[in-house]
Amino acid sequence: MREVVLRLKNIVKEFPTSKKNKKVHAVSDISLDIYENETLALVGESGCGKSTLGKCAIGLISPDKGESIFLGENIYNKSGNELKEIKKNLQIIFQDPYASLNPRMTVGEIIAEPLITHEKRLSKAQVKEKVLELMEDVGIRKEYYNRYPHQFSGGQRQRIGIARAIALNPKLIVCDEPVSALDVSIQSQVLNLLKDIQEKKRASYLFISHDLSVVNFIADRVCVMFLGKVCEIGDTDDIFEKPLHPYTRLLLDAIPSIENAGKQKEILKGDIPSPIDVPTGCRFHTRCPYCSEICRTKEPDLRQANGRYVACHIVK
Amino acid sequence: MDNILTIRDLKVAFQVRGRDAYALDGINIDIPKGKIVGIVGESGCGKSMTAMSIMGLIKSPGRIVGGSIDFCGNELTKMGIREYANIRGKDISMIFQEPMTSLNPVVKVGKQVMEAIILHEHISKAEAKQRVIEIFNEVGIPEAEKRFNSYPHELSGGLRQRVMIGMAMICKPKLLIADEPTTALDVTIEAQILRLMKRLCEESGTSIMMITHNMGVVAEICDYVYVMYAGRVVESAPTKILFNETAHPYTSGLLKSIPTIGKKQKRLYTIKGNVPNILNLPKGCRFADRCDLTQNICLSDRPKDDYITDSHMVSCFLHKRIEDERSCIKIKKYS
Amino acid sequence: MNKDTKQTEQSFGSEIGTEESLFEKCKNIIKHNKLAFFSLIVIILIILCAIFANVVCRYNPYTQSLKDRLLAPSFAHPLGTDELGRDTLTRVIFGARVSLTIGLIPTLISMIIGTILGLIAGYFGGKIDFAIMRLADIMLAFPSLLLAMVVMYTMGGGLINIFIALSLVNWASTSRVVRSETLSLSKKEYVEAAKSMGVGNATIIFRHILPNCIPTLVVLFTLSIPSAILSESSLSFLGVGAQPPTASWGLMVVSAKKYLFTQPVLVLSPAIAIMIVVLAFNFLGDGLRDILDPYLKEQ
Repeated sequence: MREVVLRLKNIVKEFPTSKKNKKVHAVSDISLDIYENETLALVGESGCGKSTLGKCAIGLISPDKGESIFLGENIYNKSGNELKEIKKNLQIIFQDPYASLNPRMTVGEIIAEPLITHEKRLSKAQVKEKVLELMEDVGIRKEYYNRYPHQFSGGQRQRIGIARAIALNPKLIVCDEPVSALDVSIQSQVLNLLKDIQEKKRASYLFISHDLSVVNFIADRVCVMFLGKVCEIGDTDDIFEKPLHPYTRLLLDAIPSIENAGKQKEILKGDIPSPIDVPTGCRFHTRCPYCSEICRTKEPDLRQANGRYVACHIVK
Repeated sequence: MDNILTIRDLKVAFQVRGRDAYALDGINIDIPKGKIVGIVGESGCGKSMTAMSIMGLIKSPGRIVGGSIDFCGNELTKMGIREYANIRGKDISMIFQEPMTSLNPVVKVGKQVMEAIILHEHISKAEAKQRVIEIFNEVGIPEAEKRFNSYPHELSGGLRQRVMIGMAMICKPKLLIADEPTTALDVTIEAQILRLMKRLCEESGTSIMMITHNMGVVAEICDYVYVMYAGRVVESAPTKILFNETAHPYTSGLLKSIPTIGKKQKRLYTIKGNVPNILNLPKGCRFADRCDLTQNICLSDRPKDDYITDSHMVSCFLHKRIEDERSCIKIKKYS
Repeated sequence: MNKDTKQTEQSFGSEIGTEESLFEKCKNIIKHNKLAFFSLIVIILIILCAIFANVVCRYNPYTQSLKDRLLAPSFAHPLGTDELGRDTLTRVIFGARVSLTIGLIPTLISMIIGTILGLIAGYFGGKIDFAIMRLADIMLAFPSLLLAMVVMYTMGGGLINIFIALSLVNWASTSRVVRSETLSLSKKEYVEAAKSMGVGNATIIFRHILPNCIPTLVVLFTLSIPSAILSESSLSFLGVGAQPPTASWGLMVVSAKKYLFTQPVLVLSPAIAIMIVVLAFNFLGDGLRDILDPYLKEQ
């Protein structure tokens, strides 16, 4: 059995709205394990709470309820130096390569920031040496040490963001849609880089994405979310070959692809329900073509089925 | 074939630091009547610029410096502002990636669509409202009459895009330009919108120019595809042919670099390097420095547009059509 | 359109050219901001004149000579003389000392106070934010001149007290601007990234937020100088600012207004001096913002 790096336990996060008694149910009671050196993907449509969950996992957002246990310790109970020590191991890569780098800092300063914050004993020269090493790791030429972010293209900026995230050899990196703002040809470069780095640094990724083809490439396990709830968790190959939850199946079906072009396919009807007024029972029942009476009234539990976990009344 | 739009050798230049930078450098595009034509490429390749040229919306410091855009017999590049206003929104209309930014947030959506129709057709308000509700029904907006009085922020992204499509289609345009219409939407909603566009195209005979970076979207609904790179069309063909007999190394590189579901890949194919800066284009083929199959001639000469079959154009030295033998020879060194 | 021009700009921006030397950089900056550079020279000249007023001027600004009163401009008195026979040019130059110190120092002090309070309010939010902002609201709601007068009356006249009065009055608007800037900046992903790294709050404020407020602050600073110079003249006019016979532009305008039609040059000289300084600072502010801005262009 592989070691669990981060265990999320019953995470609940609700955001207040302008109306007093209404809340956005971003994440509703989700538990997850992320194992050592694996990539767990969180997929789902916008508003399903995947980004919120990712940020809760590393303590960027504090959830209303639940625990995030990093190597046996709940990060929400820690503060001061203990928390700092834990945060060293939990890093994040953002979606927007333009907003995630401070426009007034040079590449060198950006990548050095985590080192300066945590490795206080390093001399300036040592920090610079380390930064240059990191730049080489992510494929940014050393000559660009003194350049500013605006002098780089989106793909190169994302590489700088990756260098910053791996500077402290973290155990877990949350990748929040790291390639969705990039062009196709650049996207494949960055995905390969993320894979190489994982092999080299042996980090775990919590990979948040709405793009199932990217997830299929990079993830070992997939967690499909719908409106703050987990629909299905399992090995990538299993889920993509034989999705059990109707939502997973329809989601896979909906991807426009070259292989399936022109085939008649089932298209999900209706809109995503608002996370403020979540449907009763199974949250997916308003769009589900197999909806039955029980789905409308009783919320399905996540239970084991065919070697994975599914939350659906219909799946046997 | 009946072409509704014919672009020939269109050049758009931007004056940057005293020099002309060509954002579009001699592109040829045909859009047949009632078909969906895809324009694919990465950011900065000029696909949106093409749309803007057709709409006559190129702003200074950019300008059209050569070529022609023929729309149903009218030369658009020489058209005055007044004439353009009659065509825009009526015969050619456009939808954008982010419907929220193209809808006025303080005006009810029904009213906004109504304005579009009253502008071009002299009909009464009651009639116009009737037409709006009809078109809302047609583009699949549930409870059309109720939605008529909604403000944009009260609608979901998918519904807003439907409103935009309704607004674009209400005057029954001959050409609809869709600039990344589904990029901001979720996959399940994207599938709905794509199906809607396909249906509208078939029912109303409107041609659609579909600008996208997503090859899957192209495969799904387009009849013809133009692949653009750094201000040039590098390959164009009917969709099936483009995917099955890919000729240009850039197209095949793009196709290979997309991860495919159901295929376990250890690594993805990558096109090395970055999109070239239009201020600093290579002398020969613009793709030469990123191409795996570069020959000497690629570095020194610009490839011409070669038709390797009657409908399949490639701008690459690897392919040549030899007329004498009445057949085409394709040099396929890669797969 | 927007999208594509943005993209082209990005691809222009991503052009990684050759490193420029410092000299080349300066030359480029000057070439693209001629007006700002010219304004800078004007400001420097005025400051130098003010500092070396004793050397530059032929006359003493305080020596009265009633037989020479209200002379028209001549070679001996290029801008004529005032009602007490003092050389106007000399008084304008000496007046620059008072007016510029009053323009610069209280503005600087109020900017510093306002920036610090604004950063704290914007970054930490909650009760601190509420407290600081309500205080600022009270300041803004109170007629500023009245407030300054209250301060001056309770503490007495004199330059130092003018500094304090004007600083107390002006910090509120700065803190509001800085707060809103901080609010938007602290939602940026690079600030979140720093937080996730465990960087301390003070470091985040000074490394990530403050530098990105600088362009706004520079513009605000240059735009506040004129209003400070003008407030000084109002205060002087109301009798609580600089007192005669001190030469200050505000005072000069006030005392010369009687002769507006008979001897217009007497009013125009300090007025034009104020205008030149105000315009020069405004142009400089615009230019500085452009120079500091390229880093932000992509946003």
